[in-house]
Amino acid sequence: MSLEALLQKALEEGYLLFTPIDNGKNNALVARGDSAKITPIPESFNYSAAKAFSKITRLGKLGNKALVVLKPCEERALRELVKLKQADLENVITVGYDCLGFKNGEEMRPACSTCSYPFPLSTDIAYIRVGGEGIKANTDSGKTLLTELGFLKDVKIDEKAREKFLEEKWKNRKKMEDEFKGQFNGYETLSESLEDCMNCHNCMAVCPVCYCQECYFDSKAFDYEPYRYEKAVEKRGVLSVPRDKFLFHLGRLAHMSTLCVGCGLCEDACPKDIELTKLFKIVSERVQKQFDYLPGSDKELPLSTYREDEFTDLG
Amino acid sequence: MKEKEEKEPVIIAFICNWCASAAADLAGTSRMQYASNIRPIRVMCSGSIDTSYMLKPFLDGADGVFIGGCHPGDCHYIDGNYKARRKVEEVKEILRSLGLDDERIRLRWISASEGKKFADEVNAFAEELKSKERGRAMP
Repeated sequence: MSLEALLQKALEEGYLLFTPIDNGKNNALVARGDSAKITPIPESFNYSAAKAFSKITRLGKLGNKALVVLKPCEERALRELVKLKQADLENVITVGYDCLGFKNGEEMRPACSTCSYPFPLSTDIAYIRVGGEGIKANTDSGKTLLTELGFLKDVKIDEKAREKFLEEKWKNRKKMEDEFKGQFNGYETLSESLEDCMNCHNCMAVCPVCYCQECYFDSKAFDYEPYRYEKAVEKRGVLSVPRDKFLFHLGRLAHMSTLCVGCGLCEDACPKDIELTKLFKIVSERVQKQFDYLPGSDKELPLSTYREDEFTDLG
Repeated sequence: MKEKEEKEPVIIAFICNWCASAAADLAGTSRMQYASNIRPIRVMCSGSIDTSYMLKPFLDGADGVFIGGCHPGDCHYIDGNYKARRKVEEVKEILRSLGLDDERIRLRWISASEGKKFADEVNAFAEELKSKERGRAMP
């Protein structure tokens, strides 16, 4: 039984759907209509459903029951947004699926080929595609829904096949880490890797966990009086402008590295093809390791909590 | 004269209103001498310093960032200093991951009565930075 059939049935039963349509070109809230447009497992990844769903529920919860279809990375991002009070999962049944990755042209997106979490983390319903096929309930509300719609069935899962699938990703991930050392190590290599940046802030605009109403880097914080530029150029001889080109990426790291889910949309959005996945994914995972945190998990946000006995060598 | 000025490291210091800032005052009124390299900025709590402000001084040519907060357990706002510590750790990890020098950012607990500690810490930090290349944190 396919995921489409389940969604179709849920739609008939009066549930709302939030799902990719037009083969992933858009995400949409669906109450009725041409079901052929609904593509829960699309072929392209344009915009994070986490960000799109946050637009719907930022101001409060949904009144109607809804099924929300999420890729694993979108699920994790959405859970972060819920913690940040930018989205609400009340009345929502989350539907996840084993993600096989998305292609950019011929090649797999770097974020997908190195994905560390291609399986749903804790969605109510999971559609198994690796090491078996079928719809599985992970929670009680998922089970209730599947029973109601008549989709509850045992799914045989071959754990070995799943492990093998992960191993492949891990190999690519190792390779990415090696490349990272050459591209983002020390000021010289860093500025070389980022020198094409034209400060368009696209990477921020599409980032599912960048949620600020006004970004600090779009604010007036970088409006300096002319004399300050004159003073600075006096000291340095040459002063590149805008001043926040390098700081933008570092500052964005400082703001969202604890939340980054490594979806790679920043790299897709970059008009200059800067390898941002590498930069954000690897640095962020190192930061998250320091705080023993996994975005999408039940743990509290690392920067709003603390332990008294940690990092004692710092102070 | 000008050349000598350029060789001195610049430290941007964010100091907590309730402790490190008072300690700086105490050091001053006690006529203690300490390195003039620091440019103190008084903040209401060490926990209120955004991570991007910990990075920004480096791009504007500073050599070090010093953060002074209350001793653990003594925060005027209950737990701001613990949160500051997490933020500093985050910034340090980012710098380390990118092969940049994370020793240029320093967090110290200094109570309002520790004027001497404030002077000593600032002197020690300035001395350490003198052995590092000037204005090269992130040119």
